[in-house]
Order: sequence, then structure tokens, then C-alpha cells
Amino acid sequence: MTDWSGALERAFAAHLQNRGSGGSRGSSALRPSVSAELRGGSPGTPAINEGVPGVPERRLGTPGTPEYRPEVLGSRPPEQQAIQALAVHGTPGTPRTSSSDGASQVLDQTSPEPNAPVLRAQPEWVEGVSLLARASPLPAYSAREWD
Amino acid sequence: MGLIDDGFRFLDRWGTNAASLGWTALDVFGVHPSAPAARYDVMGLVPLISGHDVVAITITSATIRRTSGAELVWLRRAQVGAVPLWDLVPADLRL
Repeated sequence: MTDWSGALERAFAAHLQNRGSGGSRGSSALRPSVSAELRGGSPGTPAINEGVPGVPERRLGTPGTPEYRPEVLGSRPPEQQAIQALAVHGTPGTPRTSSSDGASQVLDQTSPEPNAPVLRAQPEWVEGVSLLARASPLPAYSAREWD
Repeated sequence: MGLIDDGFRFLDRWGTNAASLGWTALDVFGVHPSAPAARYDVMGLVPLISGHDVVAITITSATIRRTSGAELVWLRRAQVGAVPLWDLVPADLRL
């Protein structure tokens, strides 16, 4: 499953880096209450945990065991094949446990579909809150209520 | 802590879950366009957090735990007439 949490953190880190370079709040505008993970980066340095969101490792058992179910690349719709290709198959001799069966099922059920809400909504939310963070408080809110 | 911190904390902790559960921007950040701080009937979750902690979300609700330990359950509903909070930021207030 795509690491949306990681992607979200990187978006925050990018936001924090951008905030520090201008505006009336100055260059030290790192928000003290943002989680420690987001505070790891500093302006001009790469955000922590950079990398392409990956798919968690999935073990499918081994040839020769009763549970083995070979998965054929290309057997899924084209939009899922990249995810399928990233799945890690078990090595010979590795027994397949019942817990990995459950994990595989969960992964199958939660793999993001094309145009799924999770793909559209979160970038909009992150962008929106980032806009709020750059804006002056709305008249309906005090500075304390805003920040 | 105010709205902005509440928003970032929610996205950090619950954003992926909420999106996966089908929550919309109005569910999370909705406010009434002319009375954003007063119209609780169309207020989304984040404007109600007020520095407290969201401790659980489901497809239909979220639970806010106050510092006193009391818990408030917010129910998802149609946010008729609401807009996302960031839509209220006019161009001249954007720094």
C-alpha cells in the first residue's frame, strides 16, 4: 500500500521549508507544535524520509508449500500492475504463516484504486491548511484561536 | 493551540485514515461562510478540536478527548452551505 503518511509528512516538511524563506513571520517560522517528525528538516536541507512511497512487503509463500499461490504479473488491471510488480515474493524455504495470509488480504483490500478519494483528498487538505498557515487570521477568529 | 495547529495535527495523525474512510474536506474543515466560528451546525471536525485530541475516527464519527478526560463524539453529517475554511481566505489576507 502506498505510504500516504510518509507523503503527507514530506508535504508538511516542504511547507515548513517554504514558510521560512519569506513573509512577515520570518525565517524561523517552524511551528513548535507540529509533530517532531515534521520538524526534522530545516530550510535548505532535504526533508526527512525522502523517497518514493513504497508498497509494504508482502510475502506470498514458497513453491512446494500447500499455501503457495503464484501471482502472475499482468493478471491485474493495468493501473494496479505497478503495485503488483512491487510486491515481494517469499524465498524458497520460507514458510507461509497464517498472519501473512491476513496481511495479504488486508493489503488487497486497502490498495488504493485509481482516482480513489485518498488520492484526491489529502493533497487538497494539505494545500488548504498550508494556505491557512500562510494567511492572516480571519476576522471571525482571534490570533490565539487561529494559531 | 489554534485552528492551524489543530489542522496540521489532524492531518498528521488522522488524515490518511479520514480520507480512506471517505471523509471530505467539508467533514474535516467545513465552516459556514459568513459565521465560521459560530455556526456549529455546519462546522467540520477541525474547527471544533480547540486544542484537544482526536482519539478515534470511524466512517461516521470522530471522538475528541478534552484535557479533563471528557469525550465529545462528533457525527459526520451533510455540511449544507459549508465551505472549506481555506476558501474564506481572501487574496489580500494571504501573506
